[in-house]
Amino acid sequence: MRPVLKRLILLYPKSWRNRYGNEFGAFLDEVPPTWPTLFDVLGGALKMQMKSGNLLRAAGIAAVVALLAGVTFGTLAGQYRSEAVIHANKTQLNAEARTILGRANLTRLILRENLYQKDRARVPPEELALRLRSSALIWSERKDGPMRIRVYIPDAAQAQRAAQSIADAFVDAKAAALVDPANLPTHPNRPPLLADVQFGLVVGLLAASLFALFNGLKVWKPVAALGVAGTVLGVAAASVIPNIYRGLSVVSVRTSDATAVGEVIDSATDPARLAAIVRQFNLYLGDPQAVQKLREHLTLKLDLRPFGNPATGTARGSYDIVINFKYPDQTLAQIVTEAVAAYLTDENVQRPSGIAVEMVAPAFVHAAPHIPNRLIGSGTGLALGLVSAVMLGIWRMFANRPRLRHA
Amino acid sequence: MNIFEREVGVANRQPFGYSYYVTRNNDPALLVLASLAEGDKHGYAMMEDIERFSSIKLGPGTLYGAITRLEESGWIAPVPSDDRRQPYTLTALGRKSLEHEIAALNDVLKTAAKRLRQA
Repeated sequence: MRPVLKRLILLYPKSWRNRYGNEFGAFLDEVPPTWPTLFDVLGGALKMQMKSGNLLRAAGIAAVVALLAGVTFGTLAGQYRSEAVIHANKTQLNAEARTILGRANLTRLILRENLYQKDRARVPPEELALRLRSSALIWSERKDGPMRIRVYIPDAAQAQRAAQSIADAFVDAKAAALVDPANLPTHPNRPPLLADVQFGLVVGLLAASLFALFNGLKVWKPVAALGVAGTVLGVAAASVIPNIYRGLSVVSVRTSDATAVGEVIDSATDPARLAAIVRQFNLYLGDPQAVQKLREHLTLKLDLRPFGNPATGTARGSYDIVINFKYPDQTLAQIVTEAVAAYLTDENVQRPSGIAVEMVAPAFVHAAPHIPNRLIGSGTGLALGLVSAVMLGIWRMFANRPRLRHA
Repeated sequence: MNIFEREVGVANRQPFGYSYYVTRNNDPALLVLASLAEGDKHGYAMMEDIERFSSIKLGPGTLYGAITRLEESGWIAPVPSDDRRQPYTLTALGRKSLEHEIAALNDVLKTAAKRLRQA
């Protein structure tokens, strides 16, 4: 451990090393090399770095990042949340939701209520419909309680109009009665400014600490270069990887026999049924392994909660089946998920007796692709760049002898 | 300017991390001054001496942090040596400062002892 201990002198500021490096090295030759000693030397290096001006740098960087966070906060459009409350029969509501929250209906709603004005010139209506579908939530706090329709949109008035339109559509379809009309939100629903500034300060201090460390290792320039290079490579890799969208839907199975739920899932993923889906939607463009691929990309996960799931409002004796389908095409990802959910809830399909299946969450697809996640890609690249730089610094510590003045 | 600064003329120099008058008895700077009051010593000798008289083991980083601050304040000074191990000596300013620190600590101790007796 002693050689490591002596290499730690390099973490002290250069001016300090010029004055005390030689005698400090001699001192470290005499002290027993223990872990407490190592941490004490590290702590001393940190204090000296801060004393030599890196504290000011840390404060400066933290202030700049905090300022940037504040500016970002100020310029980013906040999402306004409007909520309408309806009283509905859940079965009727689920049946009508397929139509009302369907792509065609949402596209008409966007045009009629003049939603997403800025984006309509450059984003296709189908994409905007998906965006609205992703930002509209219908949920209930209690099983038989009123249903809340929440819509998140960057404009307060638009959020109100959208929430009210969806609520009205359910009322018009005689699936619900309006309890409370949609409110006009006064404040955007976003994290408080203080949280952003605190985040900026933490990131700034972290950056300054890394700078102090790498400055001591004399590798801060390679660190910056490798960090930027890693981020660019991460973004490039994320751009090259084809987009995969994920469709999601949830159905609830009510039965006294838990094993019967497995039969329901098996019937939906039967090879003949999958082959029919492949033919119907021309999936995987004539690939002979299309059925096998669909089997891999389509997952029906059973949520074994025999006492009900408060998140989805399912009661005791109900089991949720979460349908996931990953596909490169956003539209097909939703359509296939919808088709599987529709098959599961189809009353004409023969099932073991005593089983009732109902829709909990109609199919939707996130506007952003599931894979690749560009944030994760760039973050991984940055992390790899920094790790490479740390390895470079450690290699330099061991490869180069410390420049100490010898008597 | 307080009395201590006026007497020793070291405004803006604070080798002790706390008050001029009352320092904790485990302040590394005070321990180094106390050790050097006996005679010139290099780092390792100081560390052993401090452990002997105070049972406090100062780590290398802590000890040299204190040495750096004390030397910058002019309270200790390096002694010319052919050895890689650099001995230090207490300067006149350092000696006077140590006397003031001891007096201040004594005042605190006497007051505390007196109050304990009265309680």
